Amino acid sequence: MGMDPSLLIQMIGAAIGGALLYTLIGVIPGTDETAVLAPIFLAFALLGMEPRVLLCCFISAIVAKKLTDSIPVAVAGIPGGVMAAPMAPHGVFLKSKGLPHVSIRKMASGSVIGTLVAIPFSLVLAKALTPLAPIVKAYVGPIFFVGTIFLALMTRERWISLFAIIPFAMLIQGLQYLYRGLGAVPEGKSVFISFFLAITIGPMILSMLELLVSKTRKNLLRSGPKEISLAPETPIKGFPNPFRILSKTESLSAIGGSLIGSAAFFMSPCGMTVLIGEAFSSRIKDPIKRACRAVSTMDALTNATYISGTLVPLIALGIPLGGMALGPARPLFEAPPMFTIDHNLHHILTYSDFAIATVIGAAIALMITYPIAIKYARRTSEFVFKHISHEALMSLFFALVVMLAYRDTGVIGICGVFLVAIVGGMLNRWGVHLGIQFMIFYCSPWLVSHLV
Amino acid sequence: MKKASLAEVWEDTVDVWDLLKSLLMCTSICMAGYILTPLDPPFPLVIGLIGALIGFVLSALLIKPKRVFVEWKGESVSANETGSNETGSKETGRGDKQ
Repeated sequence: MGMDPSLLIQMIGAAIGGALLYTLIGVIPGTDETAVLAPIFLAFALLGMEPRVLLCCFISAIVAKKLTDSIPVAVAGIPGGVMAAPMAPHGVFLKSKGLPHVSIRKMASGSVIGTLVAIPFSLVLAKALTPLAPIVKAYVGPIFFVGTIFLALMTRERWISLFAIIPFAMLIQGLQYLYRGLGAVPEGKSVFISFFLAITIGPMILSMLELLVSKTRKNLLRSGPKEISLAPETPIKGFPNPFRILSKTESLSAIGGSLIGSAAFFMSPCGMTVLIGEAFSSRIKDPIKRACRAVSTMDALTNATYISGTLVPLIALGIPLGGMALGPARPLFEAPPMFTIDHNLHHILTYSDFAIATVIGAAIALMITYPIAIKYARRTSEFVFKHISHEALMSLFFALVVMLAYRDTGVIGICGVFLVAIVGGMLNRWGVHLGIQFMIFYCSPWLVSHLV
Repeated sequence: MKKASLAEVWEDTVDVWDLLKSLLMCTSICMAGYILTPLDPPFPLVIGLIGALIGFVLSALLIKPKRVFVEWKGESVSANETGSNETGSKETGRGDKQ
């Protein structure tokens, strides 16, 4: 459809870069999806990357990241990301049974199925929901407020989550007024980036600050390095085929999970993974079959919720509705001054742009990362565990957040990041997860204005 | 004093002093790049990003991970399990979608 060849080459290049970078990042243990995706894509957006190239790179990055973040679960029992955490018990069990290679192949194949199902389904769903866009846009404030309450009620810590809504909204809007009152930002402009990053980095900041508290420091000190045992690698020939690696029932279960996950794009991805993954596997008696079913279905589902959580709100609405859109994918909706709620990828790209960029991004990530995940799972993990220190990784994200906050709101913005990060990190520790915090942030202008 | 500085931060083990060093190194290179670049936007951001990346590579090279590999204690992997369908093929395909 008249797509300029140089643009196509840029898209392919960005997708290859995104896939390679996030193949490595995915393996790094404990990396939170929002923390590793949002600051980097925010920077790309602010640099003025062509929207189609940006989307292509983003899709490639999430597909690659989701393929590899389950690898450390299988080979070392450590989740490579928040989303891989629900799989950990099953992965650890399969590893203890001497089946880590089976576990990796099931997970990665589930992941591929999730991607293959979610892309066409999301494109169709987005098209179907487009007529609703004007209604949703007219009532964004109340819709997000109701959404926040709904999400809060869905979590295990529902009472503290409900209680936190107004105080956290007050904190953010209070800072907005402070910045404007002091002239740190011009009258009428509202700060977005530094609050977003502060929520993102909250858990990490809180964890670092706990070293300054004598009572908690005692529990954090370790006498030796972290012990990791890696399972051996087993070779596989040729290009792996996910439908051969999974049994027929596992494939069906993965497809079913992906469809449900894609339809629930507005939910918190992690909650859905636990709910559906356990529901599809818990009735199987044989523990090995049960674990295989669980990991393949869960990996399919996380992939599907990530893709649909990005694409459906982006194509149909243009406002970040749902956990994924509010978190990791937020820079595609809001990266002022490049993208705002009234002028973002939704408004710039056509339906076929979305389809082409998504398909290229996902295809490249699958071609690069799936064989790596299947064939070199152990070697990749070993490289990352041996050569990329946790200190270096934390510092990279810390530096990015400081720079982007300074660029947005100056020195006082950096201070604001620490304040919001401490409160947000603490709330997260109590069970008010980042998804709820992002929702509160989103509805806070409307909510606070109705308190007077 | 020097040895008692390992701690669990953000789900992994770090050396507290190494973490401090690497935070300072990464942030200062990144911010220096952003602030001192005399060119117009978006160059400060580009240089800042490159600065953060340089800080990351330097930290990764200078600061070694606090992880050790211990012998794998799982049951041994037998050759006939390397295929893939074997765990699934025995499944009787019972209704599991409830």
